[in-house]
Amino acid sequence: MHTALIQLINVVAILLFVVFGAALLTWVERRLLGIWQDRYGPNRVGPLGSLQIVADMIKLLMKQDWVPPFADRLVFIVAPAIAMFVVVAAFAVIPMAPGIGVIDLNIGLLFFLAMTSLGVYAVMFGAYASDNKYALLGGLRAAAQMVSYEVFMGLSLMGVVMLAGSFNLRELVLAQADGWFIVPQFVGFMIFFVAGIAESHRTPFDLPEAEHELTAGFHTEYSGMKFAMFFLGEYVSVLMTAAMITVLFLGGWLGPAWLPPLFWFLLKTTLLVLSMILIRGALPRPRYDQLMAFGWKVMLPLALINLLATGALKLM
Amino acid sequence: MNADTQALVTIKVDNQDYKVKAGSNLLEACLGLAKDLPYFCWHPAMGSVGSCRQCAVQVFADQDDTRGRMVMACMTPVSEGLIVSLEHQQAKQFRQQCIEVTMANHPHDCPVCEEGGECHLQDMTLQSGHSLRRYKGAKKTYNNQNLGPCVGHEMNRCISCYRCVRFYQDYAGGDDLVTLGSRENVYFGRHEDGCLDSYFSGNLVEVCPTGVFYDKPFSDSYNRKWDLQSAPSICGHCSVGCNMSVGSRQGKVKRVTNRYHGQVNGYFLCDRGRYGYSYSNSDQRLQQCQVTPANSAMVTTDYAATVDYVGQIFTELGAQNVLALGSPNASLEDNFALRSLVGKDNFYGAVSSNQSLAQSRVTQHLQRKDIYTPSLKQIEQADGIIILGEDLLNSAPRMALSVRQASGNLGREQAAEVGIASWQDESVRIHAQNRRSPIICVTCGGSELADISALSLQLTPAQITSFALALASHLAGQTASHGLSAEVMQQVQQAAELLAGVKQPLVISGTSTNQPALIDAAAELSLSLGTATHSRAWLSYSLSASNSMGLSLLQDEAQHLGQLQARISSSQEPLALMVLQTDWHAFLDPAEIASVQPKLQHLIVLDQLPNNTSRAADVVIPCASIHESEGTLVNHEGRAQRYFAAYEPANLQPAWRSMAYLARWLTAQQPDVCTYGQQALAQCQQFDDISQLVGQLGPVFSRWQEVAPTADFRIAGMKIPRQSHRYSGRTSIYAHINVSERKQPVDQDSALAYTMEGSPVNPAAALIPQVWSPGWNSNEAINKFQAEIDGPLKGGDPGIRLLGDGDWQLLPLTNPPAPDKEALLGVSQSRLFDNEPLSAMASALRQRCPPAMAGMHPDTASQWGLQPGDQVSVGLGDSQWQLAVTLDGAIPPQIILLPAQWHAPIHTSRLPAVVTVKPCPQEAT
Amino acid sequence: MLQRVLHISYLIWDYLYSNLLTLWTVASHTFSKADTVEYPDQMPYLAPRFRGRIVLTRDPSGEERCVACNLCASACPTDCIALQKTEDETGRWSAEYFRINFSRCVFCGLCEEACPTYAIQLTQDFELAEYQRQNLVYEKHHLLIDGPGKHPDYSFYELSGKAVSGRAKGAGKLEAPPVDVKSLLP
Repeated sequence: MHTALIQLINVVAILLFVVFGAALLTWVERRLLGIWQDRYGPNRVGPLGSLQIVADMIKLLMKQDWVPPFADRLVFIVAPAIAMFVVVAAFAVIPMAPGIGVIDLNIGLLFFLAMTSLGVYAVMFGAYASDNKYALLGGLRAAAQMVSYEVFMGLSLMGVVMLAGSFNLRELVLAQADGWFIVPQFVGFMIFFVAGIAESHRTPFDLPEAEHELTAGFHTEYSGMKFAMFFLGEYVSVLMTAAMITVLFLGGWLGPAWLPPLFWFLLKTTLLVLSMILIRGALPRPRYDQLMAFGWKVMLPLALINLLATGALKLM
Repeated sequence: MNADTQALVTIKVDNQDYKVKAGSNLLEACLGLAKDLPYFCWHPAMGSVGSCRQCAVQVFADQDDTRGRMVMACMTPVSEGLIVSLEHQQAKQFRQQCIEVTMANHPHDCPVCEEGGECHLQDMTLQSGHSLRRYKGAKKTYNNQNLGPCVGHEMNRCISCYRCVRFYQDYAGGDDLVTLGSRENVYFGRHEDGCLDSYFSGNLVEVCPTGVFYDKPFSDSYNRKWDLQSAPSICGHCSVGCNMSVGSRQGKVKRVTNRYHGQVNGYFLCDRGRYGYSYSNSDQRLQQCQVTPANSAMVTTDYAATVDYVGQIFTELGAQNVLALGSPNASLEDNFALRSLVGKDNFYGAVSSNQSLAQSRVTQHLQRKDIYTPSLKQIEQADGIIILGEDLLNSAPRMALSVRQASGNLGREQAAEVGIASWQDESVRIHAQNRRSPIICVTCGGSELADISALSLQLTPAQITSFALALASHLAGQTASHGLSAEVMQQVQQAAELLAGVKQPLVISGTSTNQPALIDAAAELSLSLGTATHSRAWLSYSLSASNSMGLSLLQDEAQHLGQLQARISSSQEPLALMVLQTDWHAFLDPAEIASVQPKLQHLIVLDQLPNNTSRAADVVIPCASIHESEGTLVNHEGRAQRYFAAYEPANLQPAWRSMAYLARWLTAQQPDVCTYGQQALAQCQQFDDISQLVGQLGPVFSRWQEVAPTADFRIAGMKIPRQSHRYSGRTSIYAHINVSERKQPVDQDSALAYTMEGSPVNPAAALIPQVWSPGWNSNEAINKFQAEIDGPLKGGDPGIRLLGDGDWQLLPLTNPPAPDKEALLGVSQSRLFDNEPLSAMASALRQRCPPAMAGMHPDTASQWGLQPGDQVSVGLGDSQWQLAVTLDGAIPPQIILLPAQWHAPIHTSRLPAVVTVKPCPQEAT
Repeated sequence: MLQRVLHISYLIWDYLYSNLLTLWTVASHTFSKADTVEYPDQMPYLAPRFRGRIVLTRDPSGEERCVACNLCASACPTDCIALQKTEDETGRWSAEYFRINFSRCVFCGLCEEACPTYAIQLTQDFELAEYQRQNLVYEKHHLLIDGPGKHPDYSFYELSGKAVSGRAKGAGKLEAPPVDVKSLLP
């Protein structure tokens, strides 16, 4: 009974943390982009504009729940739900601190990879169901991009797995007690970081929703709460990528004992999130062919070399 | 003559060889080659005088000559091998300096000038490159004159090109606009303030290259040319059918300008055509259907309910008891729709019996092989003209202007003999002095062409016919007096002598005297003249209304007003009458109205303006005016020409569409008794549908499709815009009513669109809304539309001549009964400004109407004891008309001339007739 | 071979350097001041030639400057100006109605450039928002102001040569007295 209650609190707290964290992230990102672009960003609702998310939420909730008459109704509605579901589900395996985490799977890493791969369905369904040329092109891009980046995303993590000898994320964290994997696996870290950004369709890899050419890509036809779910899904995915990097390369909750482990985890995650926002604020979007070439011709060979080198070192 | 048969010479313009027409001048040739060369004083119809020095070009002796010498292009004939440069620095500089001097005194008032935006001076200044006024001295000013209600005067703007007086005096024969003053103080105006007398004064507005003369009624609610939504139109105010461009804005006609037609009106309109449009803007216009059911009050309603009501009348009375009265003022399509609705047997024309007969004789003569009807342009080539019974200046003024040009042919011919080209205007005139081609006017009651007439006679209408026959016999070598006095026979002899040396004679007559025999006599005379001069017999008739010819093609000769009245009076069954755009009651006197009233159970009027007939009607259906609808008019020479709507009226339909509604109602409600005509009419949705039906009427209409392009005509997939590409105010003109912009009306009936989108320059000459070409904003841009300067438009002049061949026989002479002691022969006297109901509404023209007076010979007057200014009461049947008397020795005795006002108690269609004359007792004052 | 490797290495370094420099440059803006002017708490600086709400001005004698020449309307790229000319009994032209649909206006100032009488001018006022779009349609009485605005001394009719407002011909600036047609003097 006691364990169950704790587990329930754990689950609810993490879910709330994820959702509200993502919501807050929308405001944080806009403020930060503002600061880096010598503007203010949203600063008028509440202290420092922090209630902007509330305003946005009210707006999105009050909007008409619109399904275009030409859309495939069922798929159109299911798509954003999938988007939200897969990222939240992937979050379940992330160990935040000892005792904090939804589930501790043996194959946590594989579960994570599986869930993120499912995310492509949300995009494709949304694109297909919209019956809109921009959405369709966005969906095609998203599918191609996710398939490509998925490959070396998995490969880049195998180095870490080799070093720790486990797919269990908690064990992976504990394996870093002597030194974070970012040092031996720096190349793996870089590749995963890039792939993570690509997985969450963020600049500079946001070609599926490139507004300068595709209006809003796969979610062109979406509005109201359904749009909000896509939108929030993206931010949860940012959080998730950051949390995953923390767990795999930055020693998770490990840190000097004068602060609680959860703090260290959150600190590392936050810094990663900020760096992703900085990248959005600074780097331009490549051409689509450049993106694919970069994936297949640079990142994949690098990931393979990294894997071979790690394996060789491990054997030696 | 056409370009193929004419000799061509090769000239080199700016190092490029061109073939141009021999005998023309260099300016004309350059403009014909689509070159831009500035000019002011030259006018394609008026020739060159070389006074403005603007068209300077450099001419070179041979290929090695690099300096050349400067000549005025308009004064230089083209010759084989001529080497000329427009772009030579010296010529360019000279043109620029000339304009700079011209502009030194030109006022800085373009923003408040009616010519601004369509100003030839602006165009030419820009073309020559002058942009900065270096002279800092004071500008000259002039006091203006009040030139009457039509033309305004702002002398400051004058650049002394002399075009106005050359047009007004030399071309149009006016004598009250003159050049005053001397040196650089010349002044173009009248000796004192007052209305310009000429019936062509409105052309000064277009002839003047700046804004000295401006269109006064247009100025009252002025818009720039680029803000006018324009459409090609045809003048509906007389039978000549001048082409004009109607400019409108916000659903009002703003002005009418000339639209060049190489064969009809050329560059000029008469004042009735130019200023007669304002009825279309009248507050009195019928806007809504009015239905007055029996024993109840009038209600205003919509088209659907009215069609329902009229349909019930058809059902109730039987279609055979619905009669219709077609109008010579309405288009062929409108009349045809009416005829289709009631059937040919029930369709009558709103013309008197004499008119109807005369008209049908005209139609027959124009179809003959042995007689040719010249266009106005061809009339200008005749060198001997005899006018029979027509006061041409009042009944067909534009034709009178052509006759005036023809009178100069002798001068041009004699000048050519000594080597003076016909475009050397001043030299030709000096050489000709007073020698003119013979013009003979035989009229009743004055001809304003007297100043160019070699012989001017005043005879009674019957005598005019006899005169024509006597002259014909005389030319054929016989002597027949046809009851004419010896004195008149002497004049016959004189006329024959005058016409002896003529190469191309022309006989002009018309229907305004209501003498069918005169029509035949004119044809007889033209044949004899043709034989006597070994030329083709030329004959032209002026008709009473814009579509008289068209109506006569649709209507049986015997189906006229008198017949209609007889049919109504003798009918046993109750009848209904549909009246199309005619004030029927104006033709009848009160007793006649009273006699037809009981038989007519329903009177259905389709008209634009209320009149006595519409007030007596129980159904009134409003019609779109000529400026708001599309249709075809057939002019005096049988030329079918299409007019187009300038704007879409708010809720008005063209008459044919109302009748198509009705036909649809009838075919739906009583399909078994429907006639073929009704069924065909019921199918008509667009203008082209009904127009196509007209085209199937018979061999006369075999080339009908060529009248104008149909509604599916496109240029690069686009319709032709009625609005210029600079049309302004689109998003705010109606914003006070609703800030959301209106959708532009869609024109399903024609290839013109109510938008700015599309090409303003187009290959269909019938579809030129207004002339404009880059760099040429004024009407002078027409040179870019002409296939050859002063020749036909590119793509051929619009409209087609319908009439072909037919046969005929001479009508016997009928003398009207001799007047008894109490009576005189009443003869109508044409009046330009108020004998046509629509143009008579124009206030600018109303102000120019002379007072209505009864004209008499002094001897006749003394028999009645009348002094000038005395009032007489003239009676015909039940009608009485009180008029003041004016005396004129030229009027034949025993005749009283009655003004042909359209609203006169004695309608002109009932004359000539014996009228009773009673002096009114002098009022004690 | 070595050269090739070196070249590729250089390229990689170059790309990395370029991206890192970008990131650093953007990040360094964390501490720079925002350029935003916090309107409406703070009024922005408006240049003298700022193009805001359009007005119709009057000449020094207090008469309307607009002569209804239609040039502003034809210059307007959004066709949002409509007017109609009328004339008073002294021959002076003015606008019978003058309407600007500010919901279409793009404040490009071409009307002011086109105006030959300095009548139409753009002002500093840009606070034109309305809840009803219909209220953005300004009629002449909304547009007309009492003063001359820019170019305070200019009066078009003084220079036009026309006799208006009771002023005789030749009484304006730079005008000679009317020509005496009857004079034959050299």
